[in-house]
Amino acid sequence: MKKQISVIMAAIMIASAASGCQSPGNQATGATSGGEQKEIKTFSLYTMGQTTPLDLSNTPVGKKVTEITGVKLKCDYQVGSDEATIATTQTASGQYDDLLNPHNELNVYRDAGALVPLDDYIEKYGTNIKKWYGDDLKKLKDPETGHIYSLSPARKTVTPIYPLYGFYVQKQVLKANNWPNKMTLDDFFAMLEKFAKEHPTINGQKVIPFASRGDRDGSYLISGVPALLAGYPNTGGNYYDADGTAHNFSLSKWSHDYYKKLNEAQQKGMIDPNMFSQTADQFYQNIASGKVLAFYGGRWEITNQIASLENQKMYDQVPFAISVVFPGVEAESYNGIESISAGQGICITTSCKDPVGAFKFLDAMCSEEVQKLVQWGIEGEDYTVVDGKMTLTEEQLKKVDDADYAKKQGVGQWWNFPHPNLDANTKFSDGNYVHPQNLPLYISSHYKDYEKEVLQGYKVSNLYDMLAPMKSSKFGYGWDISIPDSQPELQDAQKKSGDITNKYLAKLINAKAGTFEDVWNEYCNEMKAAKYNSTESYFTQQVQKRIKEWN
Amino acid sequence: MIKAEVSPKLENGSVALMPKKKSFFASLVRQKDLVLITLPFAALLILFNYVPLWGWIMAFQNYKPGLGIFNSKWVGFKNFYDLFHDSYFFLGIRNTLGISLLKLVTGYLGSITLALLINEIKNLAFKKTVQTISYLPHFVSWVVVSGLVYTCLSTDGGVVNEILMKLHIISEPFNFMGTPKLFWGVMAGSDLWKEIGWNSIIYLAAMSGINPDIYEAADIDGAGRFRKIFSITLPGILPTIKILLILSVGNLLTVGFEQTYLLSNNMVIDYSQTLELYVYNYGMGMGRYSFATAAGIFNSVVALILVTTFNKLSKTISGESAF
Repeated sequence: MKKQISVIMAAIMIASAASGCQSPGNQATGATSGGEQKEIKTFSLYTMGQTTPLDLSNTPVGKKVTEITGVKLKCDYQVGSDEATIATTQTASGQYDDLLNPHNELNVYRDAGALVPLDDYIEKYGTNIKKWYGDDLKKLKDPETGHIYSLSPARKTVTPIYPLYGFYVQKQVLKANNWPNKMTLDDFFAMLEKFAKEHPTINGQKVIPFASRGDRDGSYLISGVPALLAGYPNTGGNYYDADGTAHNFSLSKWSHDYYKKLNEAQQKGMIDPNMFSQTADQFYQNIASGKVLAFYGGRWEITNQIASLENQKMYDQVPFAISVVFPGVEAESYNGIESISAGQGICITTSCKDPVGAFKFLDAMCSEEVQKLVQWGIEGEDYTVVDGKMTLTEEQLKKVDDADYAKKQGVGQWWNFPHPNLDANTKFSDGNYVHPQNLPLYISSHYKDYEKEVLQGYKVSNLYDMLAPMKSSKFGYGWDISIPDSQPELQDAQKKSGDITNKYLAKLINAKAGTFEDVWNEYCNEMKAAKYNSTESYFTQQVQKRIKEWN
Repeated sequence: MIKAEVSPKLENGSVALMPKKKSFFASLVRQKDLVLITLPFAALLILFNYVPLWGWIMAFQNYKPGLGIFNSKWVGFKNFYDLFHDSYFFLGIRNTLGISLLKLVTGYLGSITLALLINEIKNLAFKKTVQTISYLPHFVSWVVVSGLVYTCLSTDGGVVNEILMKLHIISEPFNFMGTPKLFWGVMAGSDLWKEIGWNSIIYLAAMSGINPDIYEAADIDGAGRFRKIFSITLPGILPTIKILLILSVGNLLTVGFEQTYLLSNNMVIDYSQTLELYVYNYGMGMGRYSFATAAGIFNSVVALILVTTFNKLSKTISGESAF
């Protein structure tokens, strides 16, 4: 049987290679597959936010996808301008590629009427999509128009092997303090102070006990922390009651206490003096040099820095995430919320001449056959089947982490297309995981020796388990709600209060001894003048709407 | 805007040669060759400098890219009202003018002084080397220069702090980039470093146009170096200085977006939010294209008023003018 398939596939490949010489239009004639005429369609795809060349259909996996779906993609990516400029130019001209991932600019395209609503297509043709998305479909409705424009790829992810966000502390500090976790803010800074006193320099460089990004785009890493310290997950500038009422915490006691603690630490010389007058690059450089004992951030931001520390064999300086809470807080939520988020994803545009064909292709991308290809790769090359179980050999394990190989092979590059949840609980109908990174084999093989010591220290088998798992939420992330253009006053209030906070973070944390409360009052007055909490009612309304519609 | 003013002068100049009261069309026919030569440039000028002004209509609309100019809602002067009722806007004007004037003064004094100094060097090889080195930074992008500035002024081993500490002027590193009131100085200083050599080229060119006989005569009369600088070189390049000054007055409201954006940070935002940055943050950044256009119109009108007044002023006082 297998042999037969491969013979047919070879025939298709030769035929499609031959037909490739013809005009690349929509009508390129296809090959005989199982006796019937199959047409190869070509769709153009524009991926916003993709700034490096992308040629999905010309990879080995991509070619197989074309065989199964009968669709070839002509990929275009973002060059030169920023997303907003491109979106404006494209909508002004009214010319789009057949398929489009609008990334952060969905609203612009939607308002220009560039996107084809998918609701009816899903009803009629979306067999695979309905199977994998199920109840999530109603969460994908656009808040403004009530239509579905894209099948969001932002779903449950593969089993994480590291916490997503947290207070990152160097391994040597954790080890010296007998692997602490869930510390109070006071204990946390006491630990840093003590360690810095005992070890004033690291490799000849002066130690920075606590640092943070403080640049224009990074100050949310300070201003967003107070709610986390109080045990709430990151839902943007507001935290939400169980009934969905939004509370802006900019001026809360939490914020006051956190900034005050940072101010105290600053007076003791424990805070990076350049925190607010350096670029993000300089901050990350400090992390890579191993002189920063602790900071708050996300793992995905510092993967390069960790790799650099590993290359320098500075394993003791690699940071690991722990949680820090206010006294009396029982549960922490540093890992945030697990949800589907509407927004980016592949949309069909009004320029597409064959929207039904395009949708059928999107649905076909969701079929198990294609999913095995795009998530796992090609059998024999990227994975092995033993007794019907998909697994990885030693060599294939290495390929999973090799970004260059994945790009060449075309595996794992299809994230923007509709796909199942990728977590360990979602499985193909034959019982296999949907993604190789869920294999316990992969997880256990991934940790390096210095990480295994941390695993033993904390008595866990997965570093992700050091913090509470991602929470489910009745209204999704919350931070993905944005104020529409129809509410310019609220937009203005949000922007201004954000800018005021950015400015005062620096003033508050650098305040001289005894002046903190004065600066804080000044900050409160300016925020109130900018009507910082006028947006609460809008967020409340939107979250309550979601709670009603989604549950 | 300024380029638009230069070419009419050429046409005026040639028209002035004609006997007066001659009909416009007659002279047009007589100068058809000249007219033909300038036609492509006039067309370019109209295409790129005047046709886009059509977009100013946006300022009176609530413009949405998807709807286009024809379908967007008309809102009258609302965008201007919003602009003039925003305290940040006036903060922006203050910062823009502050930085601009500081840049104007340091830039002019610096490049004229450098040109005078280079002009006094007699060794040709050395002169060329100094000149080349001094204008090289002009070709470096602000992205790189801002990185240099941040590194040099860093409290963590930055070269400026190191020198000041070795000289015992300060006892601990000073946070230059984090001191709001120093930001204008940082802007002017970094601009001076980058542009001083480039800006001095035009003065050097003007100096080489001064008749050497005058210097010889001054030598015979026993004038020293400084006497020659103040009595011959400076008066010789005065017309150039004046024209450049008039032209740069029109740019008073544009500080240089890249430089401001890259050098500013949250700590100094009160002194670094210039008009351009304000328009970027509160106009384009929030998708308020109409609002940004309104600010742009304000900018253009003020620049136009500044240039014409200054030109007039200069004409009446010294008879020197750009147009």
